Amino acid sequence: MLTLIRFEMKKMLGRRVALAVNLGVIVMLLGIMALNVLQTNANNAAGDLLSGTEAIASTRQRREAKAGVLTVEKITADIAAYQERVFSQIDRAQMAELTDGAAYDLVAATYGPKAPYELCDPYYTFLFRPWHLSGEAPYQTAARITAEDAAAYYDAVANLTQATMDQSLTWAYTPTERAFWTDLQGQVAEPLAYGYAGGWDNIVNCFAFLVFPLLAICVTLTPVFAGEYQDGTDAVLLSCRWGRGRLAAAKILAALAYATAYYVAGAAIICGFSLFFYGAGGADLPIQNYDLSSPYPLTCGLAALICLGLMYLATLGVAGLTLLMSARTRSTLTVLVADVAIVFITGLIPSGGNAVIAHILSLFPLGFPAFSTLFSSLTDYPLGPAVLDLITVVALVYALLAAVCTPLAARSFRRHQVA
Amino acid sequence: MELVIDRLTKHFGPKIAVDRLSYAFSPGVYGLLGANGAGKTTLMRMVCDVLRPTSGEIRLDGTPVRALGERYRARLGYLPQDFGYYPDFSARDFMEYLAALKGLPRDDARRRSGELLELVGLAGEKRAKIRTFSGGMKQRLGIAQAVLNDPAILVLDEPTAGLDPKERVRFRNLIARLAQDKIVLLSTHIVSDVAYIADEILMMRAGSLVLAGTPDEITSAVAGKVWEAQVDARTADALSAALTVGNVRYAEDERAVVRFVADSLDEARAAAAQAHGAADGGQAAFSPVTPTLEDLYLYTFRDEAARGAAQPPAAGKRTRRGGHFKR
Ligand SMILES: Nc1ncnc2c1ncn2[C@@H]1O[C@H](COP(=O)(O)OP(=O)(O)OP(=O)(O)O)[C@@H](O)[C@H]1O
Ligand SMILES: [Mg+2]
Repeated sequence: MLTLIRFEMKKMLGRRVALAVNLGVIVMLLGIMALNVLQTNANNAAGDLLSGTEAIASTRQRREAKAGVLTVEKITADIAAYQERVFSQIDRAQMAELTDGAAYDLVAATYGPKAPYELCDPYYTFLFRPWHLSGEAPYQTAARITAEDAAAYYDAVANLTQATMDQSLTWAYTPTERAFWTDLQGQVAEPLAYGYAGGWDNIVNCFAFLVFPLLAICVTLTPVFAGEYQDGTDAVLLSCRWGRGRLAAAKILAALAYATAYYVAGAAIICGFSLFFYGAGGADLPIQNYDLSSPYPLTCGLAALICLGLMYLATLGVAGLTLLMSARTRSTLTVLVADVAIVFITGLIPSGGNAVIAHILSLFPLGFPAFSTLFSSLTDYPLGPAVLDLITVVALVYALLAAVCTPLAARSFRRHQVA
Repeated sequence: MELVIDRLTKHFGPKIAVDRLSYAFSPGVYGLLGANGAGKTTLMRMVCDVLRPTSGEIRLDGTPVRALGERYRARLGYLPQDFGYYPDFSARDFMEYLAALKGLPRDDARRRSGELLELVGLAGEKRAKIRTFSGGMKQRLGIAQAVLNDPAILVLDEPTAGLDPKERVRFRNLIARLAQDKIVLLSTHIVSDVAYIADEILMMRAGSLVLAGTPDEITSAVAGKVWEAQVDARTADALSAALTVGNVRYAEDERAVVRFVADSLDEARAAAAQAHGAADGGQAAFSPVTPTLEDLYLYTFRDEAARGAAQPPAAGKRTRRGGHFKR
């Protein structure tokens, strides 16, 4: 059996196209991740625009400087201190009236040109999120936050979930769905901790690039069965003792082993770059550090793991589908075109504001891989009395796809007729 | 050991490729002859369990092979017609891969692959990629893989296609050597290939067996129907058009020796006469010769050739009536 698996691997990876695509995608991923580091930009507190590792270091240093557990006392005190600082020389009521540009000018004129940057520390952006209006700087938001607001901070955080549901233009949440999300949000532990989890954050932001390895896997697996039919090797294989039994199993095992190894290689590149350059700390911080409106009681490390796990399931699912198509058609081109359609074309279709279409598109390999889609868009799939969130549905869909398609592929090959 | 084919039938839509074919094979070499499209490949695929019959069954020592499954295939060796190779595999990889598929233990696989590559004259190229092989080398590799598992039933679909004369001789000897206690079924269009080594000849036409027997037995069926005539070149052409002609040898003096099969000599005389007017045709010297398997083949398939020749004019007529040609 091992010999068969070894030869199947050799066949799969020996093809020039497969070899070129596999190497090409690895090189591309390395390139993407290198650029991802080099092109990171950030302003430091002094307002200088930094890039690359310097930008990363600055962001890290700024977040770590403010790291801590956000008890209501600390929040109240921090908000009061911030307001004190900003409104010592600026009239609070006046600030609330200004446009974004005018507010910036006023802060710069009053406290010097570097002050807006210092006052835009990521901590305050994070902290003022419940009252933040689009486009505002923290010093504008601060003008509207009252002491009562600050004291009821975690109620305001919980309200973000309600607001997301209320403000949805396309999806009318039923009471069951509302209860589901409200419940979930209720499980977010209080007080939250603030800090730096840049490496994990970067994994979550970059795991969508794993669709490239996914496609390379499709290209490699396309000829596993169809290639035998196309090249006319099926007659000899199927007439052999193990041709209809172990061979099908060996092919599937080789395919899945390769797909797993290649996926791991791709994921290792993304994780390696992220954790090495952005730091591996902060895995146990809550994901609300990325987006306070997320209702998920998860840590940053776990969220990264979920992302990678979903993408792995998607890889196995699409690999299974590819194998099934490969076992049922003689044309490798057909399989490849179908794969590209499933993986890429679905990412280009606009939902046109139609919630049902958007819900379906969200399940495809280019649909779900984004932090906001998965963790804060509150996309759910009501299933009778049950409500399944996007993460669960994506996992189920692809696990099911793999579990159904893979054995069917083996069965199709076993029943293949040479004619 | 007995392999029985029982009313085996394969339909491809309305097309009947193999039509209720029955035969019992015991160890020996069977040469399967038949025109293109006669159904040889289809029959062999069914024997090799890679194509499911529409009806009928194959039994090995009384047990249907479908029930035997893997145990049947373990005793099978198959060289398909137009068979694909893995261009990036070396000859040795290819052999070891198939050995694994055939369930040979690893050490046996090594040893047997080496021996067989030696036997088919590929020992020197065992590390070379198959993409660098000539057609004949691939064919030899195909033969080698077919016998890897020392099969009890060896099915070779046009094994000599693409082999040069020296290799053909070598192949014939190889088969003769390997054939002991085996059922060897081989198809070919090269009648002389089987004439030497086949214990029995099976002739297929339109999906059915039309003749079966030892070469001597079945060639006796055309005894007295094979002739040679020494005629001038024009008459030779006329005979070729009208009769089932085998060899035509042109001599230096513009005369030709025509070998043909015909039910009666009158038929031949008439054809010759038509070519020239009665004068010369009647005088052509016709002499009976000893029939060979090739003569039998030509005799058996003489209608097929005639039908093939008749079709194009008919098609042409239809086209003209349709007005595609200017008058
Ligand atoms: N997959 C198929 N679909 C439809 N018809 C087929 C198929 N395979 C074979 N046939 C038909 O069945 C008949 C028998 O074909 P087969 O290949 O068995 O002939 P053959 O005797 O091996 O011919 P050749 O000497 O050319 O190899 C032919 O008329 C062919 O057209
Ligand atoms: Mg054939």
